[in-house]
Amino acid sequence: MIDSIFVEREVLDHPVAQEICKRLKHADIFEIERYQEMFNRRKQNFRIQKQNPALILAKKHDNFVLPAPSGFGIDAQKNYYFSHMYNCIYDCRYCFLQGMYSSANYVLFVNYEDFFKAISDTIFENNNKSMTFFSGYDCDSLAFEKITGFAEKALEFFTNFSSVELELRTKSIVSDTLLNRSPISNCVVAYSLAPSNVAAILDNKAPSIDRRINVLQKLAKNGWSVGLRFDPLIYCSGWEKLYSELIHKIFNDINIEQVHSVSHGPLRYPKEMYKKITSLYPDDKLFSFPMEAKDGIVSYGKEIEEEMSSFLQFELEKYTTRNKIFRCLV
Amino acid sequence: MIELPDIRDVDLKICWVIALEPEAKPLIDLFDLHPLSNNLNFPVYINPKSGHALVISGIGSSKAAAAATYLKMLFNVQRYVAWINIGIAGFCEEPIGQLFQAIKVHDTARKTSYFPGFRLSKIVKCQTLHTVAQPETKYSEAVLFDMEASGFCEIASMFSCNELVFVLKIVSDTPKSPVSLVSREAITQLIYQNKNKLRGIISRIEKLVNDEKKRLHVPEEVYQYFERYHFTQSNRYRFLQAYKKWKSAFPDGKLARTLAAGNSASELISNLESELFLAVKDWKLK
Ligand code: SF4
Repeated sequence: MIDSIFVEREVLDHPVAQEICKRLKHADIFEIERYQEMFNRRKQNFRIQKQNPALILAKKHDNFVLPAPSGFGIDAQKNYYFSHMYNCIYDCRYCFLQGMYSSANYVLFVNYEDFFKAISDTIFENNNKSMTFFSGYDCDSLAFEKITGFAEKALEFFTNFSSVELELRTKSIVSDTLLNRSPISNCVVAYSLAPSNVAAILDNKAPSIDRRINVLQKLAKNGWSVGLRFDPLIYCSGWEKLYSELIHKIFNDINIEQVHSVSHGPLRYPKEMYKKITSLYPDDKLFSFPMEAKDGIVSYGKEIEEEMSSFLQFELEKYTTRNKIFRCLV
Repeated sequence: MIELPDIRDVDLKICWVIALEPEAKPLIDLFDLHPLSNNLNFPVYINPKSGHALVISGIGSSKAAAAATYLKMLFNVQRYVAWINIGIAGFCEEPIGQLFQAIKVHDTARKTSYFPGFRLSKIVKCQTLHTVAQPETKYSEAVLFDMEASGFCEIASMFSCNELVFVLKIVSDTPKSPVSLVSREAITQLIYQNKNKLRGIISRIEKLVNDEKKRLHVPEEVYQYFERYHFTQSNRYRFLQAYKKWKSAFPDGKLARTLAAGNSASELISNLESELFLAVKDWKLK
């Protein structure tokens, strides 16, 4: 687990920082000025760092809430995301965070109150518009919950804003925060899913697909709205059968009423990001695929993307209605 | 002594930058290092078999930086090599002889901090270190004090990466046992008494170095094509990328066979890519 915590001097006395240091009582604590002096350093080696990341507790000063990239959202008029944390305890080989940050250390912004203030300001500014707030864009929303307690606070907060939606995107099976309380109608717990043997190869350190499906079915039974996210779609021999079996397995034992939305999206990277990630893992078969680079984006290419997308659409429509299915194109 | 002409071929794994000769002595023994020449600006020791090289810098942060640079130039040290600065340090509390990995190094004069090294917290305690210009006698903060590490960190991470730059310090003086009482023999003894721990640390670092070397490795067969055909800079890059993908997809593939029909850089690249495209239908992730 985490053996070192670097704390910005400014948040040493913040109750969240103190609580986290108490929870991680075996970790050594080091004082720093600003998280950037450590996190944004040049010449860091993400791959080596990932073997033993440190936790950095920091204060976020601005950009608490940002518009979600187009193609990311489901069907709300306005989509926003917020990132209380950078980086993730899992190590999915395709994860874009590896190409986005030069450090694998976890940064947690402890001034949760400022996030909630910014979210409520955004809600008031967009009066009467349907809105979704996405958590877990730069991390996994629930994987670190036992340490951060952020999702629990976010749920409390969003109970006061029943007209806007919160999406918690996750691969985590740490569901106590959700199962120990009554569901809130405007929260979607969205699970990232892939065929079992694909996930077993690529979703390093993340819970197996069977365990994810178990938890999401349990959440649905307990009245939570769940989202199914087949994103990114991974190409390999026999992918049709693998995805078809996965979809069947999920829908076989779930109350369809509780399925808020289903989305699928292709594997895509900005060119520079792809270059960086592949240089970290040059031997990985995921990256030896002859990808197509077009207009600054690296992908499987239009043909494969279309084929996979249409197939998913067809398979999903066997179990749910078209208006619940979305294609994401970030 | 080792003949100078061979030294640029030495396959190094670890470069040591040490301030004082009494600090270096135990490492010279431990890793069976031999002096390179009497005519160098800084004394350098090496064991070409184990891949360790050591330079004695003298006291001070700028000397540590200069000596690291000297070693780098002398051996053309590769990116995957680890750099270690080990030495004695002052600390606010006993015990004398305790070994630490400094994971935050603060230069008090320049007010800059470094965060060197993959944290080896399972085998060695971690601590903050302040690099000072004059020996610290007040031990005013609960941190280690030395006189070299910041200069070393600044330069060594340019030669490798931050995670392969290590600062290890052994407590030699405390408020109860001031620095003025630390003899040359005592310094050597302090390092010797940590030799088992150091062996564990080195074997972990060597594992990181080997992994990094493997990641960055460009096989000889690639260079043969670079020599035989004309490659522009961008074709060189494309060829290397295509080769890496091809090698990962077909680890047992014979490059000469795949490239037999190619007569120019772009044909060679396209041969590699075509073979990958042909494999798409039956693509395995492992
Ligand atoms: S769970 Fe998501 S954020 Fe975490 S490593 Fe995997 S892809 Fe990245």
